[in-house]
Amino acid sequence: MFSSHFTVAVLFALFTSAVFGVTSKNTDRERLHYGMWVFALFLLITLGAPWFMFFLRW
Amino acid sequence: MASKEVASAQSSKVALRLAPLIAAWLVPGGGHFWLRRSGRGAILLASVGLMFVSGLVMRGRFFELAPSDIVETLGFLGDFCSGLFYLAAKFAGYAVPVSASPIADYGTKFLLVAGLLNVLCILDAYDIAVGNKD
Repeated sequence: MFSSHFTVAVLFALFTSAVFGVTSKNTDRERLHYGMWVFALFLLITLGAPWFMFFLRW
Repeated sequence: MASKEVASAQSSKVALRLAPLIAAWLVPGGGHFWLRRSGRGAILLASVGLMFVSGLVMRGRFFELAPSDIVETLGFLGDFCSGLFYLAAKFAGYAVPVSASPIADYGTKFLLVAGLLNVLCILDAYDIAVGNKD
């Protein structure tokens, strides 16, 4: 289960965004939306930053 | 007489606000359970708990208290914030040697971040206890 970096990164993003969502907003709807937003950002940065660095070296 | 009653009321208010903080440190989401926000408490307990257990499964290491090493000491404080999870693991004798394995490195970070996320849970429980949020 923990054999790949991507799996570990997704789990990290999932747990962290759940806590951020619950502790940051005031209504259940806002908590859910914010948690999903944070999760999406985590994945975007996890996948996007390496590609950015890949092309940067050119 | 009136001042004694006021002092007594204030000390009971402080105790009521400390209790959810201590509960929140001991058990992730414990402060929310104390304050009858069971749904949120369950999500926090599951998230922080699973993160901590994942760190153990990945054979991450705990930071040690080292006065001469600020990074190690800060890491120890972060691990300690996991409350009963950390204490139970230590009591059970969980100890791994420093390893160059990337998976073990992820585990170390998971253990640390679980404690740091619990700090957010404690602060959220405090905000609810003092009435800053619902």
